[in-house]
Amino acid sequence: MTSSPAPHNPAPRPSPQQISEWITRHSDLLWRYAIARVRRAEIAEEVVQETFLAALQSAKDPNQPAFEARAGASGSTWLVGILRHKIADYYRRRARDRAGPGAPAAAGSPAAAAPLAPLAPGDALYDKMFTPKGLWQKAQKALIPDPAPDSVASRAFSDRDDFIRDLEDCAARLPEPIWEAFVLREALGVESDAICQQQGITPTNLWQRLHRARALLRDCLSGKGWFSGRPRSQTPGSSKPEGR
Amino acid sequence: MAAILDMLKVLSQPCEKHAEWFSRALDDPLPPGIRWGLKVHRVYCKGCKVYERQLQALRTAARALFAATEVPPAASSAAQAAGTTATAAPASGSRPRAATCTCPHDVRERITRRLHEAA
Repeated sequence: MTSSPAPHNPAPRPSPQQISEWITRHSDLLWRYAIARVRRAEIAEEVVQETFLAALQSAKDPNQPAFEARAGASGSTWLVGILRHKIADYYRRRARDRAGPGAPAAAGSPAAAAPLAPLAPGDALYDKMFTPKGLWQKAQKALIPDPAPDSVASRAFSDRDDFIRDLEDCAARLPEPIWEAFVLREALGVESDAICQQQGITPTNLWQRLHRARALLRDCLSGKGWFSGRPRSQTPGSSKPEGR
Repeated sequence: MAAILDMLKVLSQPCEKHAEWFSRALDDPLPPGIRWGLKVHRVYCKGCKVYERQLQALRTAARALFAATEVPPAASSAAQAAGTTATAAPASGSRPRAATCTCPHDVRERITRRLHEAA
């Protein structure tokens, strides 16, 4: 006579206090991860809440590790993984809402996101960077890329906390469709073809958005004194070059 | 043959096209001919050489910016280097940095309430 399989024991439910402590332990990390990638507080709250809810549901599943096993400090990696998907879902939903009711718009279709005009003469950013013939403006050629690796004056910009702080300020000002392409690519590491499919845009349109994002960021950082070649204060927290 | 034609095409284009290709190269591999053309062009065009390095600095810094938001507060060296704490108020007129901000109290309360209902 074969024995029947042992019944699944339901996972013990976490107590309200355990839940509160769990949220207190992880909410700061999830919040800062979310706010850096969605910009708006109400959206950050929505995706963080969805993350905790999904994690709680998973903890109820007897086939998954128990709540206690994931509620500690090491559980943050797991939660960030869920949050990453929630943020990607958010951007997918936005693209779908822009396309209108029905199936996601095919790239290039009229219902897809409006293609961005390429940088061209007449565009303020283009005219600042290039002459009408497409050559670098004199002021742009005077900019420097980065201190030389062996420079005693400064270390690489990308190592400096004040450069990163200014980059964050500049990124916060990017227009919405350009910001979306930038964050999907740079923050969430989504591959180009996946972004195109999700957003309903062509590869050319995506490259135009990313090109414009980077040009805008570079322009904004130049306005804050970076790339100018003038000496800057080495004190962390200083975001203005000396003499300005 | 196609690669050589691509390279000649690149060399005949103005710098504003090269700037587009430098950006595109950060996301997808460029065809060999275009890569060669950009390499040759960079030798004599300071503006393009500088722009490419600026884009690389931006890419590195953007990754550092987002990576700083992926570590728990105690491990955040960005917060320590900046001398800020998680509860420090931002300087007047400046945006709070994502890497050092904390979940607002009212948000945490709402989430906690919602989870207590769902548990």
